Amino acid sequence: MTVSPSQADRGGRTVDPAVFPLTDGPGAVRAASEWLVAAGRWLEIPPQPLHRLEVCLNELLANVIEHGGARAPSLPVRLDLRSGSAPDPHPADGRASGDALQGEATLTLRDGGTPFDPASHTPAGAPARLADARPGGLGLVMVRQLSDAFSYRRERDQNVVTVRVRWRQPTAGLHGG
Amino acid sequence: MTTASIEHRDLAEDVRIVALSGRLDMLGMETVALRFTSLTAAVPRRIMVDLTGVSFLASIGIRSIIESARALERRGGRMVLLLGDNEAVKATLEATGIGSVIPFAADEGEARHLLAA
Repeated sequence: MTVSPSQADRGGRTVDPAVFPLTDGPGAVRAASEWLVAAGRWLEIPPQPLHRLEVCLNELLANVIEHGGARAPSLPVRLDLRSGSAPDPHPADGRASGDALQGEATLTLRDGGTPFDPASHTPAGAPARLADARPGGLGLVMVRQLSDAFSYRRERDQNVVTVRVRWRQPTAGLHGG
Repeated sequence: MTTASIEHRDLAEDVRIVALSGRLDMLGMETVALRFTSLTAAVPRRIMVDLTGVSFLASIGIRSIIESARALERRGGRMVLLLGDNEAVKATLEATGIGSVIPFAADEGEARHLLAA
């Protein structure tokens, strides 16, 4: 699988977007994961935030397949991935918050399925008993918990979901490096 | 990406380890879901699900674990999830809150202790 760099715009790096038809269902989700991992490694997204992003991608695509309507599997999903920096509101090394940066990766999914705002889904709390544990509905709970920001908009007959993950970037020179 | 697989061994008449490995996404679960259900529905009522070799865990895998744990509980049994140092899978499970109803163990000894409780 090849990942093509798109542009190195100020404040971020991107790769060429990928388009995946979902007709193969589970196979398509796997292929999308493989693209994300390759693209994320090229963008130097660290393993832990990349894994969180991969889980979110899997759950959102599974949602499109299961709930996107009869046409959803035949409509392609477009994925855009970008990495960059954002201000760190809570720097660890005593710097002022305006001076510190944290790494940030943004994944955007566009699909033409039935309008559905996953960000408006209100997750149930943790179950008190196993008998109360709901096997379904976990995917959006996982997206909400594993992402640092998660939003939805409807744009020209497309569902557009944006997921962000953030990580602390090492400070140059702090540890002698 | 690693294909999903499943193995099991019985530690005692009433205790079974079911070890899942690889990617437990939609594609991976097609390979192991039925076998997982049957192995956890069999006579041993104390089941240790070893997830130390799982590289990726999606909600479809967690759903299967919950359904099997609930069926086991109805039969008077118990399930524990063995995670070892698999921080990625642990973080995914913690995101669902499942640890409040299916205990996690860091090693086999702790898992055995939780199963005997």
